[in-house]
Amino acid sequence: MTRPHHEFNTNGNPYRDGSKWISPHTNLLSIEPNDLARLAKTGSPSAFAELVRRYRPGLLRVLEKRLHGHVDDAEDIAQETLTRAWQKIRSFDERYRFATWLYTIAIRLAIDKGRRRKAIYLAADPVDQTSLGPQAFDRRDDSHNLWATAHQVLSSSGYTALWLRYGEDLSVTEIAKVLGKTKVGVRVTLHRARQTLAPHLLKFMEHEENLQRDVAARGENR
Amino acid sequence: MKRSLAKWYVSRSMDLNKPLPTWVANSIDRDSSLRNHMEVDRILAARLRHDAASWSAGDPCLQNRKVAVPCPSQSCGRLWLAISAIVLFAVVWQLRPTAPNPPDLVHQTAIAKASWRMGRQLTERLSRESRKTIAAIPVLPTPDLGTIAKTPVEATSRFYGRALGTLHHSVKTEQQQLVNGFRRSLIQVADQIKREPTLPSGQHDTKSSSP
Repeated sequence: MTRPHHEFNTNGNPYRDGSKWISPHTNLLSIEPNDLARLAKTGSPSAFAELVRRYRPGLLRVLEKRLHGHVDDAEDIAQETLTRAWQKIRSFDERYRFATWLYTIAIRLAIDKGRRRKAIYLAADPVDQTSLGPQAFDRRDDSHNLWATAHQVLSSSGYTALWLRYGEDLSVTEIAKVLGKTKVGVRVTLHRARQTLAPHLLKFMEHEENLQRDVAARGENR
Repeated sequence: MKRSLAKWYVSRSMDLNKPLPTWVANSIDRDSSLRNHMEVDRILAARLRHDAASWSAGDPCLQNRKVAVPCPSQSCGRLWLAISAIVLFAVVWQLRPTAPNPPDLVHQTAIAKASWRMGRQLTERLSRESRKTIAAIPVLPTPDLGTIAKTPVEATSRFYGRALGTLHHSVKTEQQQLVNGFRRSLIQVADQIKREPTLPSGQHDTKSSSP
């Protein structure tokens, strides 16, 4: 059994990660997620708070998609995921990325929840986000965002795989681990998701070109 | 077929960061649609990476929103049934004839029987209505997630506390209903007994008067 090559301490002093020293006074915003996870392992709540700040929104988006638009359930699962992650942070294996570990917990909890509430999800109509009032998703500014389109047109597995690939920058192997699929399965899912999104991208590009033309025409008129 | 295969190889090279096979590269040079496909895939990947930050910046969390909640499991019903049974037992215990005089025996028996019958009706009615009561109760809002890191134990207890809080609230409402119902039923029983003439001592049911 190999020991990790970095050194930890729990008294608030800097710790060494290979050739790199990380002080508790370092700005947390500039620290990599795995380094934050290491700090959290030593008992730093602010490091974990920073991880929560970074990962919670993406987690909520993925969970909301997987739970058929039930935002409350997504919130609950996200909450439970983060709570479990904090409680089990000492068991986090630093050879892997923190995102892989966190999303694995979240996806398993979501599958479990989906299984228990399958009848409810199947019986209920998909939640109309526009009917949730002003506190619901603020999608007014998402019209130019390709993820908003992806959220609408892709399946939950396609959206999740795409988010993990481009939103969290995970490799195919890591995505396969999170989703419990084979690598080929993940590649097929990503390929199909991109194929589905490609026509929408072309529409986006046409729209932007038209906007640019309009702006240029206005400039010439002035 | 060959084009589809070439597209798949383009995807593969993007996902695994591997170079394209020679025949695919040659096909791309010759075929403009394949070239377009590759270009679109690259732009798509770049765009998705670029848009990810702004997409995740919009927090989809809904705070303090009351939503309709499906009825909790039957365990809640069992809980209040147990509570109502205990209350019923206490009422019957209070009304039991401690040292009945022979002329009061019939009267006491009638009270006990009537209260038991009314209690049973009340229990059945509450059982039917409990689903509505529980379903109407709003879900308590989700606590602030930012507290997880600072006070993990508290945050955890809060998370489970929401469910418990909702259950506690529902049970309290049920209890209040139960008390009100009993009060009404007892008043009805008292009125009924007042209106009914006392049976002659020789005509009472010997089975019901036996201990």
